[in-house]
Amino acid sequence: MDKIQQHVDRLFRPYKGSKQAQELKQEILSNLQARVADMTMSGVSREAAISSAIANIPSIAHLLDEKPRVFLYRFWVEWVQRVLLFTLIAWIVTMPFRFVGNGTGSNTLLMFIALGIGIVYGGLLLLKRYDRKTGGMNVQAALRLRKIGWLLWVLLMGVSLFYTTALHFGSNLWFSRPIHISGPYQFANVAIDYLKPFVTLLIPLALHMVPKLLMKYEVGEEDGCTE
Amino acid sequence: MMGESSISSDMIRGHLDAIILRVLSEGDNYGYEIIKAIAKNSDGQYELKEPSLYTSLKRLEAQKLISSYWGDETQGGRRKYYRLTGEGAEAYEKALAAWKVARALIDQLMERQE
Repeated sequence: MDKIQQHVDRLFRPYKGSKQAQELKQEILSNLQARVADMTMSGVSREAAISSAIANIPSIAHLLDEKPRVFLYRFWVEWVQRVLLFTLIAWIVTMPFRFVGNGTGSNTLLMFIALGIGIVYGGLLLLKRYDRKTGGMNVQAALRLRKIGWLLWVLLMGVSLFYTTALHFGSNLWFSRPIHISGPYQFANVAIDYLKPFVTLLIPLALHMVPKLLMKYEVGEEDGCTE
Repeated sequence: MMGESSISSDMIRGHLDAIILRVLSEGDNYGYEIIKAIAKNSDGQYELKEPSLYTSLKRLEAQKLISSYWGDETQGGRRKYYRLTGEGAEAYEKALAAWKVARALIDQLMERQE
């Protein structure tokens, strides 16, 4: 049965955490097992039975709701809270930039972003009366957006690292003038130039959390839902 | 041969819900056994694909024509059983009556009278 379990696990990997998907997974798994058991009883080899069972259900994307109902308020509160937390961490981590001078701007900007998100979060907490509000959210689209976010970020980082390297060490390559890093201060300056772009990691991280949280706050069969 | 069987599955698709309701009207059942019952009822001429089964079951459950519960299997995955509701039984009778009227009418329209 292991091969079947593997196939079903692979089909459902993107939907970990979704209640709706877990229920469907159980159902599909038990039906495939019943099919294999039945076919082997009637004389088909185990291998052949397993591959024919697997071929029967090649994908499940269209079997899941495109837009499952989600507790909207709870989803937004947790998402904003997590983004706020990440921004605060980034703000604290970039504080040493201030001692060097280079990167003070990024640190200040992060502080303002954190402040802004904090205000939004505070506002959301005041809207507690919408706690049980539900609405359809497109999980598939959130999964696509997450992929695009990471792709663009990796691309951006590649370009940025190349640019910083060209700026600092280009003269060594093109004019064969040796680079001088004459002390810890200069070293810190170069290091900060390399580290600064990583602050944008916040954006793909924020996108990354969306599908998981959507699945977490999906309305299950046992929740009485209000429109 | 291939063409013939795909035409008949196109024609059957529109009546799949009623075909499943019929199987469940004979007793509660789970996915693979429903597929097997339909294959047997058709003398092996028609085999329902699993994805179509799940789509139909989901639609029927949303319309409250069937309800589901989990079996208590001790080994392997848990089976999800489906049961016909009162509304489902009514819907089945209606679909059957409508089909009989349509079949008679289509016969009359398509067959040339000598």
